[in-house]
Amino acid sequence: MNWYKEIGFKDNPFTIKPEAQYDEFVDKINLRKVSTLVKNSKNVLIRGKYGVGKTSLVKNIIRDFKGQKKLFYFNAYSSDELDVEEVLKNAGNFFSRLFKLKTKNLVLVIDEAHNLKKEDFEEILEHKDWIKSVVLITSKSRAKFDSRFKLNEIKLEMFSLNKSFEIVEDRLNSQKNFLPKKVVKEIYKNSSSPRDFLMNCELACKKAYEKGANKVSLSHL
Amino acid sequence: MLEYNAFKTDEIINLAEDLENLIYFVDGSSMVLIHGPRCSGKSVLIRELVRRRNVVYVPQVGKELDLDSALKIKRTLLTNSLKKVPKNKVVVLDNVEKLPLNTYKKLQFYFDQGIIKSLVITTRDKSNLKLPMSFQDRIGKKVIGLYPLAKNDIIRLVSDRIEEDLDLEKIYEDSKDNYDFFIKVNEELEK
Repeated sequence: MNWYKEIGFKDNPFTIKPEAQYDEFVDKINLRKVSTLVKNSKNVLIRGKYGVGKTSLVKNIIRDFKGQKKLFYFNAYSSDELDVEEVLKNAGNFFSRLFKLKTKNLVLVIDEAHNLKKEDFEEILEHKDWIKSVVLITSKSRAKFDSRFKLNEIKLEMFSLNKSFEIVEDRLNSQKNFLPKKVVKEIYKNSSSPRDFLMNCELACKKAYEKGANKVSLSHL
Repeated sequence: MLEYNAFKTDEIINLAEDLENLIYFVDGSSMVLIHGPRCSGKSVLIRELVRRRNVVYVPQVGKELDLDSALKIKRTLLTNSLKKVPKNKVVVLDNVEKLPLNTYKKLQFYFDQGIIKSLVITTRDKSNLKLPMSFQDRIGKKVIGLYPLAKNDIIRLVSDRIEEDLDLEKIYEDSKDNYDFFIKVNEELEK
């Protein structure tokens, strides 16, 4: 038994995993900006510090394009190479794959993009006629990327105090009284990023439960 | 012989709260760092975790890790799209010294994507690990720091385990640390 099971949750409601089910992080404005750019075949650079919500934002974009096999997500640290030819041949519908036809209009999403090799960037540029849009995600500076990509930059920042209340409501739902606004405000003031905020909320709730309280108070911080 | 391999023993001394925290973190999808010198109880905590939960356990990681082998992931282009990959694994990396940046990043990525539900790393010296900030950020405050057993506790532990009557106090005074104490006790037992 622990604090979240006690209030009726099967899993940790303050999970830091970027889950598409929790939309609140996704600044609807930024999501719309990125979607519009991609639909207009523009390239995008999503920048921001670790823990700010880049991957969460991207999960929502991927969900929008899901099932059409027109989007390929690649994490530049997770594998050795990006074979753009192969990606193009394996994307698309059953028939195009059967005949190994390269798909047109592929959306290529590259996470940790600053780690992509120069050759891979060149290969992407070579195939630009087949690629509708490239979305690069990074915590580093835009200077790392070749200017030939013509990147439209979207910078993500820490959310506002009001948003932090919305987030707690979204996560705790009917149990939101367990973590009162006064406490949320204090946690917010001491949190350096969205991820830090979520983890601080979780640990405060854990502490309150362990002290036998029926809701979180400032003394639990 | 005096057994000092934690995996072959059963006592849990002064670790109840740490164990409770570890199980809580693992159940709640976390990345956890456990650090402490030799004989501070890291293996006891891991032993208890392994006994209570289904984990992928990698002992003696050191300076390199074939993560895909440990998780039985076959690398093909299609797995880049995350279709046929395992999900929700609890991974325990024991005795990590330092890993290549790529490996930390891959662990992070698998954690974010849900391939790894929770990750537990143990180490003797956390400053040696050279974790990137993005990795440390995911751990956050979920760090369990352990200390060696105090003199009275370890003398009692050893005297409970052996039949022979040795001057444990004296052997302890002559030992550099708890690990050395175990070694010296065994040397005496062999005489």
